[in-house]
Amino acid sequence: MSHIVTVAAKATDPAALAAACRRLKLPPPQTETVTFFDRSVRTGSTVRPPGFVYPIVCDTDSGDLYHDTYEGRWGSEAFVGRLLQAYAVEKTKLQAKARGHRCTETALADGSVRLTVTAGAAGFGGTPQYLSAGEAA
Amino acid sequence: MSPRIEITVTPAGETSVETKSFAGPSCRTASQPYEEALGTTSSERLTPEYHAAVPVAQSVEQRA
Repeated sequence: MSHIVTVAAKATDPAALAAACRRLKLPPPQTETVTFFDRSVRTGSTVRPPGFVYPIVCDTDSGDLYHDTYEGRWGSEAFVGRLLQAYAVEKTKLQAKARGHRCTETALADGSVRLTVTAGAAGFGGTPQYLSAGEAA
Repeated sequence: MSPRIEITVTPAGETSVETKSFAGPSCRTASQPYEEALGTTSSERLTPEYHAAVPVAQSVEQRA
């Protein structure tokens, strides 16, 4: 390995968000303005998981998610994480496709998803990233 | 093994991007578009392989 980066996922891509909803078998996101219980108002792409009183609002400008699950009584807190997970997976796959890379998906025992990205014909970034002994000779 | 990027996303949405089998800083160039597309980088750790020289020198040694 070379380096490890931790990324705080931000849901900024409407296409990836729509793909995440398909992945989770949810209706496609709608653009709505939602007034939460505390009277805060959020406008964005709304996702309505089953059992949620208020939808999850995705501000695709900032990438932030807004929700009110009332400590789990009005919706599963864990599902918010699953939505973010599905978004990150689908965003990675879209990014790989756009760059001509191959992307394979593996489900891990702890519920995580591992995506392995390998370069297409143009390599990573369009320039050679690695020289094998044969190529260097 | 060919260079690759491994992206792991937990059920809570926590995401890590790890490069493997790259030599030197080229791993950053490769993974940066994915890091930027996914969100905001919160931490980075360089591994010993990051500081390794590109394997051209190794091939020269082999030919000598």
